[in-house]
Amino acid sequence: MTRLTPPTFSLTSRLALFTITATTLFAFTAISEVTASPFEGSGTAASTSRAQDAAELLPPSTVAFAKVERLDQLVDLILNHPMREKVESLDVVQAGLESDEFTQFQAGLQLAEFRIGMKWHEALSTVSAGGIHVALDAETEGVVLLAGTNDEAALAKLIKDATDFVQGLDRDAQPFETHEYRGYTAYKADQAVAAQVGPWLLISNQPDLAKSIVDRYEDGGSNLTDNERFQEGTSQLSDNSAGWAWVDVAVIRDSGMASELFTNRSENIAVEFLFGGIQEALKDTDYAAFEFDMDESGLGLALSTPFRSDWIEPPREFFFGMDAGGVAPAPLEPQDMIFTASTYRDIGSLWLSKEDLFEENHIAELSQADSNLSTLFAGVDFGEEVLGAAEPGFQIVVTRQNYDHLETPVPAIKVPAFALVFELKEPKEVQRTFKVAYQSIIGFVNIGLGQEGQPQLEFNTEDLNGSRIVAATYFADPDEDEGRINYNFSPSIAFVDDNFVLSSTVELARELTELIQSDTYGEATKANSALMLDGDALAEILGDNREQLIAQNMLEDGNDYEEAGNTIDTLLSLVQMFEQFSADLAVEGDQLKLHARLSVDQ
Amino acid sequence: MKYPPKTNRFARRGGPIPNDRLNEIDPSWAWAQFEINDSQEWNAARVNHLHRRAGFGITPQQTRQGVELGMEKSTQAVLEGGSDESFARETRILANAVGPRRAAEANVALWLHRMLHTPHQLLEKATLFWHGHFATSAAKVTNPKLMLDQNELLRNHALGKFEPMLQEISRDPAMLIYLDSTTNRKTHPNENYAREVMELFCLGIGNYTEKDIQELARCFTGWEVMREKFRFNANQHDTGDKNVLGQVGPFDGDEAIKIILGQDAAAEFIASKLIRYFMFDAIQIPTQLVAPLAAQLRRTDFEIDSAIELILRSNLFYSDHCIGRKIRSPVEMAIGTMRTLNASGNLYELANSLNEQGQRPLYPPNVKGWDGGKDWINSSTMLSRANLIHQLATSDGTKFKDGDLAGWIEGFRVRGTEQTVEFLLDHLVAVEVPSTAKDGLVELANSHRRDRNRQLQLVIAAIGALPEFHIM
Repeated sequence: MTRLTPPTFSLTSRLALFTITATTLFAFTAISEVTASPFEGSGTAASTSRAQDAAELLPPSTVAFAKVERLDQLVDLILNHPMREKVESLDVVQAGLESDEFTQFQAGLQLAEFRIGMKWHEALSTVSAGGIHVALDAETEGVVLLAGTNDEAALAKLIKDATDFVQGLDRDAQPFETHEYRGYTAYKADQAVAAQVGPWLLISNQPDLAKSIVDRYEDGGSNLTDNERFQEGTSQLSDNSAGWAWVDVAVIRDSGMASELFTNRSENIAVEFLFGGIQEALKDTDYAAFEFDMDESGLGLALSTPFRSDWIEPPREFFFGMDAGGVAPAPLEPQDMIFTASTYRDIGSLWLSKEDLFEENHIAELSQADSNLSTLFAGVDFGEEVLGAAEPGFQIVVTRQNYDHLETPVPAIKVPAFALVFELKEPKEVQRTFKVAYQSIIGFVNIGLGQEGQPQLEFNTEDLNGSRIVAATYFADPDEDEGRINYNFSPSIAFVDDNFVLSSTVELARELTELIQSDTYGEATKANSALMLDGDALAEILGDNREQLIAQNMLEDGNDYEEAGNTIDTLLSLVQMFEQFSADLAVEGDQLKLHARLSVDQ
Repeated sequence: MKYPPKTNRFARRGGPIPNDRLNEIDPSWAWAQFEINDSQEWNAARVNHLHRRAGFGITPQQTRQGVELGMEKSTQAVLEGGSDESFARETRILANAVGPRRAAEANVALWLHRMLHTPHQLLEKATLFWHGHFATSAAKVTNPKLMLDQNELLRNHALGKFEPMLQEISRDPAMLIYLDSTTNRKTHPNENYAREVMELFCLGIGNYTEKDIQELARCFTGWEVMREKFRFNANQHDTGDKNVLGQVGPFDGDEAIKIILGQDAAAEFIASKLIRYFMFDAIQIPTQLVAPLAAQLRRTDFEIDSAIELILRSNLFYSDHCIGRKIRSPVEMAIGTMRTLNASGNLYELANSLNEQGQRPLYPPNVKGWDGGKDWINSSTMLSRANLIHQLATSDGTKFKDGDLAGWIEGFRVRGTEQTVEFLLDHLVAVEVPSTAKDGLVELANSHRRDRNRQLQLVIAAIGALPEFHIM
């Protein structure tokens, strides 16, 4: 029989435990006491000014506010989702469910369920109608949690049960301090307080913030809903989100918090490429609103923030284009696609503005790179004539490889094929420059391979429906049976109409060439950037490398083959549950919007 | 029966044997076979001694089996090595996976995995010996596959005959790259490899002349590495007569190696190194003590396994001159502790820790390999050694085959803190520890009586900081 040993708790941890217990028991108690009259029990004071919404209780100086609207639906969705069965069938989850810790947890839970005569998730589903709210106040630097109920008596009983339970864990320890404020009883440990204020369970790390909420509950007065930015932000929200959040960007920016988000200069070219324009918008925008929704098919996220194209200073026009009208090229979707990302970026403009965009110490490095790359590109100016030759807009495509065609041994480590595609402004003029650079790079690579006694790359040129593909493929010693990692690659370039394709394999270059040539290709997206990750293809490429992953697990985690195999199979099972992740960033009217969606296997 | 019936450790020794004491040893007694009788029983301490020296250590369960098996069968089992299909399969899978990655650190982890799990412990211990002897470093040989190939070459010959191993290592691309000997033309013979063959691989300083090195270099002319593969370039081979160690003829490299191994000094040189590796730390070993083992090498045409068998069965091996007279190398200490505890873990991290302690496999410090002995110990390495044992015992990353340390000790009927401390010392330490240290361990164990696993973790970590833990 499992024996439960009561642990000892510090005052702070006791309050934390109280919070957890209270939130759980809150649900049970509310149901078991549904017939009780409102405002009965301790700490309830007669009142005339009663806020209906948590935002009405919060001070105007609130800088962040989040609300989970329908916790009941979320819990039901998670508990009843078809994925739950699959997750529970995983070996690692099975082991967890059979562990002593979980057995002890279940025993405690059953005790609580016995007290209220109801399963916990049923109880929680029933009582979460009031929503869970969390807010951050700039003036007091306090955080507050407000949980709303429609049964105050049940809440009062819950608080009593929770305090009795926590104090019962260690009878020798000091009880919570209790304080009275305007007829309400607050339980205090260190600076943290918890109290019932009418239908609200209030927990905060700042007593002053808690008092101001009580005052507002009793007397009314200015509150967060008076904030115009809050009003504007919440007006952007849809009606059916499961939860949402709002952040007062203006106050955060003016207070000097998170200053690195609002700078003109970056330390990293990749960060600037990916986020430079968003950083620029954050310098002027007032707020950001975030919402999420869940259903059986997955999780959706949306972020919106005010946006005006004239906020974007010239060095960062590379990100959104003139009048923020830049859109990403049409995404290519070859077979066995794992990942695709398409984005509008004027990379030539970014490079030529490097002195305005990057910190001083990085400019020297970039200038050196500029010089070296110019040499590689037959002496032409890398910024103006190479990057500048590209139309704004790039896409990256990653696919799982098929090795059936290989004349070399099949590589033991299977690397996905990947390609970069962009449009050229003057294709005929720059083709030769790009081809010479490609040949130079392959030449350098061959020298290095030769020094190491490795197989060499051989040039091949082919014509595919009028498009030129130049590929470098490995030729192996006929007696060789080693599946070198090199054989994953046959670096290729292709000139397809106005497009340039740089691919890690000739097969992908061919496939992309045909896709670009097809009649259906060409219509750009309406987004600035868009990406998509395919869960099934990702699981397949991981499966292709199962033995490698097992070996790595054996050496890193000390597992034997069987244990490592189980661990990797669990990972693969988890990845297989995710169908797709997609995201896009777009300017929609006077808002900059980011949408993301994670689809799961149903 | 309660554990333990009595202390299963040897009386405390320490440090190298003084030269005058080595001179006093009677060689005929030293190399005579150790006999079990009423005054010298086959017990757990001797089983553990055999396995610590001929391998990296064994679990308490295996110690018990070794005692039951008796000396003859235990020794025979060590010499023959076990076979384990699951180990063979795992090693194949790992090699197939690690090889194509061409990552030096993965090679180190792969070798540590072999040391930890191989049923043929002597083979892996001998491979490590030859890696130190034919020192080649991945720091210079940047193609990891070449290092992996050399490692396999050493393993293939580790318990075979020395001559074919030397002939193959003379053609090994990793070795020739490491010694800057990838070209050797008849007009400009490259003396690097020839010098190391004489000085470090076969004879030792004082047993050859500079002229012998020059002549030997001529024998190896035309031996080249091209595109990281060995090739014999007949056009560059000097076909003229050479005078190597007094013998004259148009010798090539293989013939020159036979001449070198025919020198008396060759057998004595190899025998001395084997004694230092398997028996005790000593800077100089008296010639008369080495002679019987050298004679055995000559008699068997340099058969390594029979030389090691002579060592493992000898009076000297089980004597006070040997027990507690060797400082555990970092690899011996780490792998030994893990094997004793039936544990495994992150072998990349283990490799990094061994690097701090001065013995990262595949990365010997120079052409002489690891000096060993007292060089393993200084204030920095001692701290790192103790930290490693603490980490092994207490980290969540350590995987115990028996679930945890409480599971590991279960089944041995170890009761109470004193018995617990004795049990741990018996299996982790070769020699007796001072009573004050033991009292400290008992006190530590007493303060964690409620949590058996934690108690064992902390006592093992404390044992790792004892000086006696680091000798064997």
